[in-house]
Amino acid sequence: MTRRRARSRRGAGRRRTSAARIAARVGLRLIVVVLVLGTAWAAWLDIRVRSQFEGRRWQVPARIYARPLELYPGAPVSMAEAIRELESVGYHRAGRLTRPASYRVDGATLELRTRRFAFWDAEEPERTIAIRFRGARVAGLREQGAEAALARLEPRLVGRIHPAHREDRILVRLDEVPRALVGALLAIEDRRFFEHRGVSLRGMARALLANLRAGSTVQGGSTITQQLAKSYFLSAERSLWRKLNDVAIALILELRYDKEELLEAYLNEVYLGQDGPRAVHGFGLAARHYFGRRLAELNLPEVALLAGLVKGPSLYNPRRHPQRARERRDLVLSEMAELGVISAGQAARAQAAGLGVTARAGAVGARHAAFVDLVRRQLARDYRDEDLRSEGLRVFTTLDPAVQLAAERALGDTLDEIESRRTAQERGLEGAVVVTDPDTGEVLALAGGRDPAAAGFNRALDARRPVGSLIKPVVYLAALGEPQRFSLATLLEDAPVRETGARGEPWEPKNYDGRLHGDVPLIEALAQSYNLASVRLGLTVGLDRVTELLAALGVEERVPRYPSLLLGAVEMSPLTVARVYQGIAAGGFRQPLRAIREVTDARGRPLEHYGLEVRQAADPRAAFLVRRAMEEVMVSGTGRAAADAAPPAVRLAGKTGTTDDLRDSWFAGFGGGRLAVVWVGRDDNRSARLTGAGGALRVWRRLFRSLALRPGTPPEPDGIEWRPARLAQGQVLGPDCDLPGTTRLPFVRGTLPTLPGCRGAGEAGAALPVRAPGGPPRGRRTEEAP
Amino acid sequence: MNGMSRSGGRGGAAAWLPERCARPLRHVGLVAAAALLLAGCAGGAPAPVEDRVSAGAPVSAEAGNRTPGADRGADPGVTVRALPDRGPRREDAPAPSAAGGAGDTPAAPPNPAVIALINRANREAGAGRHDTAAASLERALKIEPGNAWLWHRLAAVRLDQGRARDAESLAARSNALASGDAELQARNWRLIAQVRRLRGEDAAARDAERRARELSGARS
Repeated sequence: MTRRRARSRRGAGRRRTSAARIAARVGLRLIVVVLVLGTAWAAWLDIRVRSQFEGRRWQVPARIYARPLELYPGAPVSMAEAIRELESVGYHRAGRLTRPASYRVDGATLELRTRRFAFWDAEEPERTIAIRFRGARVAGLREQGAEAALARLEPRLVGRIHPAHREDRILVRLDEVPRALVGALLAIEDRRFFEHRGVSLRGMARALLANLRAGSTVQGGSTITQQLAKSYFLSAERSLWRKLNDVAIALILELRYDKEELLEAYLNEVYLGQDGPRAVHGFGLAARHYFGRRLAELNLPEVALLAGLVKGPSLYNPRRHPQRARERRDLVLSEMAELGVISAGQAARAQAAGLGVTARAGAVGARHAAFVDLVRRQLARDYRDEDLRSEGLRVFTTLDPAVQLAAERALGDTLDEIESRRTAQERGLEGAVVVTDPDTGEVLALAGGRDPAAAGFNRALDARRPVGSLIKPVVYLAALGEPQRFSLATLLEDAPVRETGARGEPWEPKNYDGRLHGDVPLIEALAQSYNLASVRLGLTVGLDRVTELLAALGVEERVPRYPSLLLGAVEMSPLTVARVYQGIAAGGFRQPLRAIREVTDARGRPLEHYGLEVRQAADPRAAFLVRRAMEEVMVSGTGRAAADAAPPAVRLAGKTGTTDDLRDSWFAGFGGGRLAVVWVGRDDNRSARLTGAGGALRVWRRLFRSLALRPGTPPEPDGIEWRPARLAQGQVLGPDCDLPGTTRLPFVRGTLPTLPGCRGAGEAGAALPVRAPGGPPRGRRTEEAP
Repeated sequence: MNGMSRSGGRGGAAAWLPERCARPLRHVGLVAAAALLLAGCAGGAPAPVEDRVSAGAPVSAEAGNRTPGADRGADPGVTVRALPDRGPRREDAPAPSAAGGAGDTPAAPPNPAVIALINRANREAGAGRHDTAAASLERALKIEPGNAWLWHRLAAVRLDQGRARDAESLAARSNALASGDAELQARNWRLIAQVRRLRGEDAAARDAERRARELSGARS
């Protein structure tokens, strides 16, 4: 630019005298300057337009989906649950299944026409399936007159990871846009779109005339290209300069790109309303927002309504101003008919239709804030935050919405119930729940506090509290891993213990009831959560074995190596506790807890599959024995108040945990294919005045009562034999000696001598007495502490 | 390893199909047909002994399905088998279910969804798409987590994916669920042996091979 100016200055060097010549020269100079400036301006705009259009045009948030519901014969899903799931993904009840994403009910049969959905591993095509229900289960599936094995429903959207400005979009390709929508837009916004070159003088003149007549701006007269130009440089300013700018950009756009590209950009860009704090941009999202449907599924009146919204999304908001929206829609339809896009009959029929707008936006509430938080943390290991916010990734998680709801309700209702009998100062209880599938390690639900919508402190992940007696199953697992020394029938001494604590102080734990129980069988010591017997057992096994086992089960946090560890003087989050119990529930196999199954890009191309992983952490036989003892907790021990949490055919196992001054109330339990860890306490760490049984267990019971549990006994590994035992005496009898007063227990095969029948079984001499070796425990002491 | 006394305990009467019986099943996907063929094979294979009191006579069926590409040393055939959850049935320990074993374990017919998913996994694995094969097996495991054969198949797919350590752990998990099924345990041990050879742990591999041989021997 400076060079050109310098050149013109050189031209001015020659001397001319004529006034006319001077005037001409000045004029010429002016023209040159304007041209130069104009060219520079245009070049600058061109660069901006290109970077806007060809660079990353839209930031699309990552979408987080719940697990898809799988329907198959025997699936534990009732018709009501299936319908709830369908409604949550925007299915509509209909008399006839004329459109995808619709369903109808006929007695105990649910007939549905699905929409296609690209899963990570395969695309689920559009299908019409009839599902028969029997009670709370699927009885069978039929498709095209034949029995079908399996249907995977489209998953529910449970969260998004937003860019900073909270925009959202569902991008559409021109070829998936209903032709009627294009017709409607042309009819109402820009009839000569395919003819003009970005600016329509005729349109502008018409608008000017209309505005002059009305005395205010009533018509824009902008072409679709101009509207697109305007939206690129987000400014609502209505000045002449602005207008000039828009015109220039529109011209540049038309020069650079063809009509189809511009139209597609426009369809994805245009502002069509507001969803709370989020702007609704583009027709893809608008279809979801107003109708709960995909754009391709919309019918003529629905499409016309959306096209009518362009002029004023809040003015014609169909939820707030249905009458105005209707008039606008009908106008669009008339214009379409006039333009010949549709027939007059079609227009009339569409004008007779209702608005069809859903009651509320297909909103994704903050309901799943705690779970989404976990998902984000797991994603953060593999993806940049910027990509999560802008690349439109699709994240398929393990969240089970029904379980999530049950967990939230169980926590909220139970704490309300407890506090209803308390004074104001004693209230302020908080809690956290983690629910997993012990067979696969998938996290099904997560409650980070009483208020599921609160996005603040996620207690399930971040509240690290002493676990109390929850540690005991690990201690017993370590012991039972030495089957030559310990069995469920081994007698343990429940007698005073004197050790040295973390700061060199004497450590003298007590039983919760303050009593000494003498010689107690190992299974009872765990079931009744006797502290002294457990500490002695742990010290005999060794603190190192316990800490090694904790690490093997997946505890990554530092574990203080003091005798008090044996009573749970170690802080863990509920999620970490779930990890530990997962390993026990899965028979000694540790599985990393997973909240994500897979991630795809915006087009559905697979990026990452977070597959099932397994590591052996403990002897499956020892894990089986510990589980048996934890079943006893639920039958006759500290968890018996929740024995009715499941039908008898489901074997429950669990453990209570309580910490000093009743600060923390814990329960961790599993059975029937579900595992849940519950913590109840206060954020200020004052006493919650709750034992594990008084708080967390009640939450857990309420939760398990509302879950669909799988009946059956736990799988028994090889190398287990069942023997009757006379527990009080610590005697194990011969295989067929099921006498009165005996209990049949599992033992590791080969660790018990074969006894000659039951002859004299009543006499102490004929049975095998089992007793913990070593007498008074000589545990590893504090000098080994790190 | 006590294979004989409890073989077949998991699913009822059916043990692993011997090779010559499994082959004709190549083109048969249907459980019923497979069960018929299985009956025809029973003469050639030693009938497994069921020595446990079983609740409600669990149904068992197998559907063989060989996918050429899926063949591998440790896994010459692919079997579909749905198994009910199972457990100790003689236990009379105090339990909320005073009823004891009876009724604890409902007879679970082979789930067609599991069969469909295994067949899909076999197709995917045959085409070299191990990731999607694994995904299908994981879906099946969500439906039947106690099915030791599914864990074994997943172990084999993991080995194909080059995830040897996962393969070994999954085979161990399968074994923990395969109590009494000597054939499956032998297969798992062979797979474990293969992993150990890959790692150069020859002594440990020989140990695993020995266990596999013992289990195979226990069958005949």
